[in-house]
Amino acid sequence: MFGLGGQPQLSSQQKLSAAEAELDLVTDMFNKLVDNCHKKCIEQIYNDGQLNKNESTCIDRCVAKYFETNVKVGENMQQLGQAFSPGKF
Amino acid sequence: MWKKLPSPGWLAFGTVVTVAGSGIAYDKYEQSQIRSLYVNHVRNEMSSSLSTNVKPRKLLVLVAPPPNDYLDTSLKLWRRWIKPILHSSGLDYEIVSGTKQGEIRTEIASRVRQLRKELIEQEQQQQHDAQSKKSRSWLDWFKWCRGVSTTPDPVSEESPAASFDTRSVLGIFYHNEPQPVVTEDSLLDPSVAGGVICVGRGAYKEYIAGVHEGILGPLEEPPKVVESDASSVTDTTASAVITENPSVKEISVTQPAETAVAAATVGTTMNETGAVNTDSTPAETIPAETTPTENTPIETTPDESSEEKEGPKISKPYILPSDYANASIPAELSKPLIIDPKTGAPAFFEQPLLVVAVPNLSGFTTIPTRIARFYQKRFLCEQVSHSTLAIVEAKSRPFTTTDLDLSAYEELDWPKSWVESGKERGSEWVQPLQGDDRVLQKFRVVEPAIVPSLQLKEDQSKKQELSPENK
Repeated sequence: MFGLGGQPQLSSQQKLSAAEAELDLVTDMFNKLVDNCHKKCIEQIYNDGQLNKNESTCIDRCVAKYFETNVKVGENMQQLGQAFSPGKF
Repeated sequence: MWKKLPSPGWLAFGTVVTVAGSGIAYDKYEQSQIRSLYVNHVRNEMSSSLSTNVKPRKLLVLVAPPPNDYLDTSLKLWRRWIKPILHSSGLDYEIVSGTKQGEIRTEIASRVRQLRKELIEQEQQQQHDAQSKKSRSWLDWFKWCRGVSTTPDPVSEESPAASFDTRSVLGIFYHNEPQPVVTEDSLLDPSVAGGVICVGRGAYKEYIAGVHEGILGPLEEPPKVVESDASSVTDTTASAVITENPSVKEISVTQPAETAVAAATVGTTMNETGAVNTDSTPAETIPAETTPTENTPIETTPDESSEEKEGPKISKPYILPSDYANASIPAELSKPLIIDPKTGAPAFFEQPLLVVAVPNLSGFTTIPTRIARFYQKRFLCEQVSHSTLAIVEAKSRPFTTTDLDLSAYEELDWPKSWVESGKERGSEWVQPLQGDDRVLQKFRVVEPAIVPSLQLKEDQSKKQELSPENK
């Protein structure tokens, strides 16, 4: 109000949009993960409604690998971002 | 076709090539036959259903390289003959490999110690629970007398972070109820749950030493002597050189100094970036009045320290084999069957153990033997597949002291010069394997002799079909 209340409101808006962006990111990653691991691990014949042993171990490994890679890539990107200064590379 | 035969030279050459080639082809073909025989035998297991909250039976695989050779030699055996069978039998596995002596032992020993800590914690928790139950009943009675309700305030106890679960946000539990995850090993009979495969005699030796160290050794590391100081020394020298060298410092934007700090505190990746930066400095600094001799230490030291940090930690054994007899079994492991509190399965050293030898010769004079073995790999394949089938079916028996010599014949292949130099350096592998009976009686060994060999069966059935009586 009176030109003072604008600032905190904006920041909460920013926070909200940041949270939305993060949720988007997580959802996107999750969808990609489900897609990839489904393609790799689930047989297309669908003999059985249940997962069989092979499929469940495959999915386990697939998800673990996906997360691990995701974290590693993220860490590296962050470090690149931190170490980045114009004129280098 | 030909008007005349080619010259004797060509004929001899052709014969040799054909014989050698067809020998390889025949051997490979037989191997693939054997493999498909075993894989198909266990295939039914793969497609059996498993509910989504159950983790399948899990094996621990230890792989060590043969002496004077790369890890890949052992991994090849695992990849070709063991893994396909495990895969098609629907088992889960975890590989622990080491490229240096002592890596597997360190890993195994630290796992046993971790298990012991968890067991102690669990026991304390149980005692605490029992005590608090007792005291609470008294407290309840007192409070009841004074008319105070004892039900805790639900709002104050739960923080939002504790109740937050990403999975429920993503809607995984929208249609499904969350179920507790259980391992299949905890549901099975303890004698058939899990399993340990040691690929290579060295891996077996380290496994035995590691389990003994974990069980009989102290929980915390005994005070160390030198060892860990080396890296900090290199770090300080690196920073010292940098401070002596102002021109380098200017251009490299104080990265190396940061590296020293990072190496001491955080991790390897930071270290790597530091190393890369310092690598690029000499090219820039040489025009700027610095001699290459001054540059070299900066270039090398961070790399060395990063290598030291990157390499897996190998700790000195907490207890030596000569002290096994004096040590006592800790109270938390005194039960006849030890259950891992995390998984509910028997502790891994109680699971059936399989040792697979990796015959591997090296050297010039052994070439004829190596050629002969190369052409007879199908027998090794059959042997390995057969014992893998035995661990898949979990046919095991109690451990006896003679089982310390499992696949000891592999040691005959070890290069003599390597063994001698190992003896001089006090290497772990070349010393005779020692065990303590109190620990060894916890083990179980897979006995392939209990399981009929599939290839033998196949051969017999073929012979019966061919024999004249049937016709």
